[in-house]
Amino acid sequence: MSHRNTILIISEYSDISTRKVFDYLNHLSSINVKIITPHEKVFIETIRVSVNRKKILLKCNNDVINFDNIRSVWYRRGFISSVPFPYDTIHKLEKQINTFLSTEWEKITSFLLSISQLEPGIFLLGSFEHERHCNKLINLHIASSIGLTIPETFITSDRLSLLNFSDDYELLATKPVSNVPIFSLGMKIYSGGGTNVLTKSDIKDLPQQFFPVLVQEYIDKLYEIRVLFLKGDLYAMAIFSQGNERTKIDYRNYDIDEPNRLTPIELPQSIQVKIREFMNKLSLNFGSIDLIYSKEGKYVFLEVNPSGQFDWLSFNCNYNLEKRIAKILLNET
Amino acid sequence: MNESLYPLLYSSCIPVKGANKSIICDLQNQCYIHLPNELYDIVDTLGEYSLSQYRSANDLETYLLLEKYFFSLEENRFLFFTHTPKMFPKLDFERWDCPSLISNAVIDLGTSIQFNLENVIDDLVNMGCQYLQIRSFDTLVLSDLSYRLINARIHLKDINLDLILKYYQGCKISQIKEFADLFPCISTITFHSAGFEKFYEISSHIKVTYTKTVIIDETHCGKINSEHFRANMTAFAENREWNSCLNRKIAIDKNGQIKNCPSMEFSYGLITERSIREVVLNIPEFRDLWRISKDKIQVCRDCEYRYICSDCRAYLEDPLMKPAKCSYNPYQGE
Repeated sequence: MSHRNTILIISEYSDISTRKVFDYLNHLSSINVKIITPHEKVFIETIRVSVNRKKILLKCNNDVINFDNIRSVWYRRGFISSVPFPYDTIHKLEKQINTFLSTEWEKITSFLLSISQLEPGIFLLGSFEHERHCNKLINLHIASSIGLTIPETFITSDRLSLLNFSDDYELLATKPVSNVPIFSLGMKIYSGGGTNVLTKSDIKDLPQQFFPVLVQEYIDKLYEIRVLFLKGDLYAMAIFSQGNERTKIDYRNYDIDEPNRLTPIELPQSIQVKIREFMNKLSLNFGSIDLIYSKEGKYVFLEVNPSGQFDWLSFNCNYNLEKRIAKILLNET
Repeated sequence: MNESLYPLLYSSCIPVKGANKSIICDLQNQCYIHLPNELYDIVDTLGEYSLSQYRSANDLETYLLLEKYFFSLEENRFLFFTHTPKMFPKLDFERWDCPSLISNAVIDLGTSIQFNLENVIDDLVNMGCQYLQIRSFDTLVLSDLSYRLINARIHLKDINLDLILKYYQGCKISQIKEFADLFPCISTITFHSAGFEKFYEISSHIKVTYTKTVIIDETHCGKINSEHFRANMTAFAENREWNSCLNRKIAIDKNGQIKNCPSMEFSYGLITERSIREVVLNIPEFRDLWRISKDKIQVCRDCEYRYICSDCRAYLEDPLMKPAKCSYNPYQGE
């Protein structure tokens, strides 16, 4: 393993956690750390696809990255940028060519970031594939099949079906199936929140048919839980956003000026086992999982984010996850 | 009221007992509240008993007082009620660490000695130093300082820089701005001996303060008062095991002596003769003082402020005694 003296991190320029892990890597060892962000253009010198004569050589800012020297790869977030495409985007046909070229590039980078999984000598933390193709619906399905409680979930284009569904629940919530939408027009930026409450009168205002929407039963929670899953270990934090078990403050009275109390929480063994099984099923060794603890005393799975933020969790629970990640990347745990 | 509930402090609210008084440190909101010692044991064992257990263990009058106290802590968001107190572990402070061999440094620029600042800065950055204070007791004209800092290539480094300089006539705000633009790493500039008090924010990240305080040498430092208390997660965790002032610190005093802090008497050598890196790596005694946590210091170990206090190991009557410039007596609570 001694020749493997480089750690490769794919991340975004401003990511605070990357910076902290980078500092620990330098503090704990003399290993080379190469961070690639979308600001850096990566030039592919060689990718040789072969079992016996496999070779990967990349160039980035005059550095040569040889995969023979790589001990571990952390796909933290973001993507790998290519050297500029040869075409600009004024012409209609050139636009189509560019779209084609970006698909080509995405497949190549996706291969680069999964080859580290296929290569026995390299350890890969995180998953570019999952970040790209994360599907809330599939994940909910898998979670539920493992025995995790999920909110009743419904997708429909039809007002009547939605009304029928809403009859069974006191309140509904709606959220995007993909990511929080952000639109921009000129200097203005429009963004919807994550989850919104959907009332009966909202539904009555809808036309007969509409673009399919995701609707879930609204679950009254005592607190939210954020879990960082790190190579089999779980680090959880409770977020008291709604008073507590005595006051049972309704979400509508929630005072946004008060900072939420954050505290470490130890999940019941049965939930821990299921979360591990869920992550194994997705072949994820890293991810941030959102749960809520309902007023009925149930742990409800909401979603997993394969490259979610964990800085506030690590800081507020004093978990020092950045040091743990550094040790995992160094293979020193 | 459901009496099967357990009152419990949020994990970031930590009671600390002193000889006469106690406090609860709120590490999330970075503040603390006072607590009479009579209540300390009850607050410290919160989470072990349900309300009904408190009721059966006490007479009615005491119970009602306790309940009232719990509710007032709850209203101030220090406490919550739960059926599952065991699910909420205390914060684990065994894990404190930082990715630096040296995390903070003080350099006093004096007139009696010249040394290669670039080598010092390089050593600091390589050892992971995040905060550097550069101080000058005598007049140091900005253009001269700028020349030295650029020669040391500090404008290219990732380090937070605080400057403490002597005020001089003719130092205009426009010049300070021009100077600060060269060094994105600067966070504060303080002019001492200014004869007036003023505060500017010359850009989104640089604060300039003028103060009447006259600083003629390092002896102005070491005063202990509540303004310097740091009730935050990092400091609290570090102070449980390490010295709150000296841990992972290095200093060069105005005569070029390498020390744990410019106010200390003991020198590990002259900066013109050995590097700070050499001192940190090769002189084991250099790190001995880092280990003097407040729990090892006489008087301080009985003080309720011990984990949020700034401490001072320079001005002392005895090496393991409380700071001489601290006027608080924890046995009397004043």
